[in-house]
Amino acid sequence: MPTLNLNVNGQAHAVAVNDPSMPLLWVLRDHLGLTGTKYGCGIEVCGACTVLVNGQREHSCVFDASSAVGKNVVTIEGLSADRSHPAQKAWIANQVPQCGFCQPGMLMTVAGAMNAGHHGAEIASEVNNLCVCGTYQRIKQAVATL
Amino acid sequence: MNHEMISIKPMADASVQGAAPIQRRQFLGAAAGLTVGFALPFGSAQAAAATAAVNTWLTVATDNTITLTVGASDMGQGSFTGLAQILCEDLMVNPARVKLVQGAPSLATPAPVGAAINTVGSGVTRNNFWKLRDAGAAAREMLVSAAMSRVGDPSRGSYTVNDGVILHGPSGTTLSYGQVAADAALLPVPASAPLVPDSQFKCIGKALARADIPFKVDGSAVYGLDVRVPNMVYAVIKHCPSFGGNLVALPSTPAGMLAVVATSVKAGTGRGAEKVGNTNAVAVVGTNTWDTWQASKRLAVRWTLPANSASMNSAQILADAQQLMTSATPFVAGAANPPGTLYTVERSTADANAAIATSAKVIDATYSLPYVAHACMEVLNCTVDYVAGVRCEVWAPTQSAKSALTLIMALTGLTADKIIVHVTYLGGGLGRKAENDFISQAVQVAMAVQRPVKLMWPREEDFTHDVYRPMALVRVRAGLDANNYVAGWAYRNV
Repeated sequence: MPTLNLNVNGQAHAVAVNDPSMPLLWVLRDHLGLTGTKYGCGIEVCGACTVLVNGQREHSCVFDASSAVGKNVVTIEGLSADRSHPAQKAWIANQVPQCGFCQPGMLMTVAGAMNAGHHGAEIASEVNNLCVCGTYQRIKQAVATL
Repeated sequence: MNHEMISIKPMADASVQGAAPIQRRQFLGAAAGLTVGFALPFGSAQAAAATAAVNTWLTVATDNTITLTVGASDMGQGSFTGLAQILCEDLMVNPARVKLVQGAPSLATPAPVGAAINTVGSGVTRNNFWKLRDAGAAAREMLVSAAMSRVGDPSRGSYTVNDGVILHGPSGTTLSYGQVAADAALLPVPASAPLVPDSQFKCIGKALARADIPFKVDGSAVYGLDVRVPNMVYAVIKHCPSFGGNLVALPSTPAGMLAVVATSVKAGTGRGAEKVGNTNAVAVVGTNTWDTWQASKRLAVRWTLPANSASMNSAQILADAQQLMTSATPFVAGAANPPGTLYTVERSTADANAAIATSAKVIDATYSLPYVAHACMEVLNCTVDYVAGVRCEVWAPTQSAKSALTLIMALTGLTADKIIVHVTYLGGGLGRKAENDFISQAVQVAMAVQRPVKLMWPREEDFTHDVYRPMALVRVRAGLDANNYVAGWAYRNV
């Protein structure tokens, strides 16, 4: 059984998997117990599974865990220790989430765009994640402050 | 916006609760105080210092903790915060101090306030509004009454309340709710208590920050799919590709998997085209979601398909509806309608056709909508920890906690006191999670494998085996007169 050495939220993990092509999403959720990253569609359409790999947005539902070896993975749990990332603060200030299931992916998408030096409407144009509750208007309001 | 925060814990933290021995929720803990459990109607309300009453839902503890147990499921409506806001108006405390707890289901009819209810129809806030206001006022008066005895001044007019602190004006003495909660618990609940006048509202009408939002921006909110129980295994469902189908033979367990379990349609969960008693799905059980899902995809399963399976598709259903739109005998209110008019409904209060025919202007429009999957962001899932004959603990993103309880009783043969239903956060509900087929399946799998199990529907199963929103084919005709007033209106819905 192959062992993957992963760095997630600054912590080293050795994960034994049967299938090295297991998507990062399921390693995070099932093996590491980091359930903030969500399964929505499994075909990189909805964006609920978005994490940062070396600072860039990736859909963890189709990103082989083995491809994350040697890279820094950041999940919603690692975005900040105390909801202090500017995107999280903007989300609370604008009361964005409803059911909230898509929001970790939204926030990681926004965080990735911010890492790329983007702001405001520029970020909004990059967020194509799905939200069935329809929180898009408040997402736009929140992102406008970033 | 001036948001105030309300404290709430992430719900259903299975990593903490998963292996807990069975016990009814105890709301008072070590700090016993006033517990108000209002059954309906309000007149039968009773207060007690006991810690174990199932239908206690508002507690004021001696450490000043105020706990409100909410029966509704949270799928993003904001009703937890709204209910705390309503309660606190007349209880006269800052909603930020209220600890909100998810209620468990009760078999009592009507369901006591705070019991997990079937959360449908957008009714949580409006149905609880006056109950919460009355409860807040009654609890406040009991606490003030206890303070009056303590201070020794029997004039109610000498006392005011500000954020849970009772002030005796003449002496300047202050007593917190917590300081008098134990005394208040011994008093009878008043039959009525004055409500705060609208003009003095401090809570109602304000936009308060939602209590659940902090946990929805840091990943700590526990949805059904996030529940983890020690020693848990993973099950992935695979349905018969056609509704109404039945399993021919149970496939053998694939290499690396723990089991394949057949699940059947149980009474109360067989809505739509599924037939009660049919074995319409199998669940592959393994040690993680991914490997189990892949094994499920590869698994060859033989099914007996229903005779009409070939015609069970959106194109054929629409064609059938279009045929019925023109040919079916209309249902006529009050008339002797023959069998077969079930599909077509038309009510006439006068001769609409004649009115439309003689109108200056006629509008004739036909609308169609296919069967649509609810497409909740969180796929259907349920986690079950079952010990044969002893206990069954279930975590589910359900809108129907009470129905789930009765279903689990029927499936396991356990009495209600040996069953715990945890209502988790719902990643969308939209009515689909008011159905309990996924809970039934998870319980069946747990009973078969005798281990804690989390059952998941892959997105493809979620879309293709939904209890779909109904399709519709609607033709609307209206005749307008010269002044554009409606002269005749005909509406035909297949």
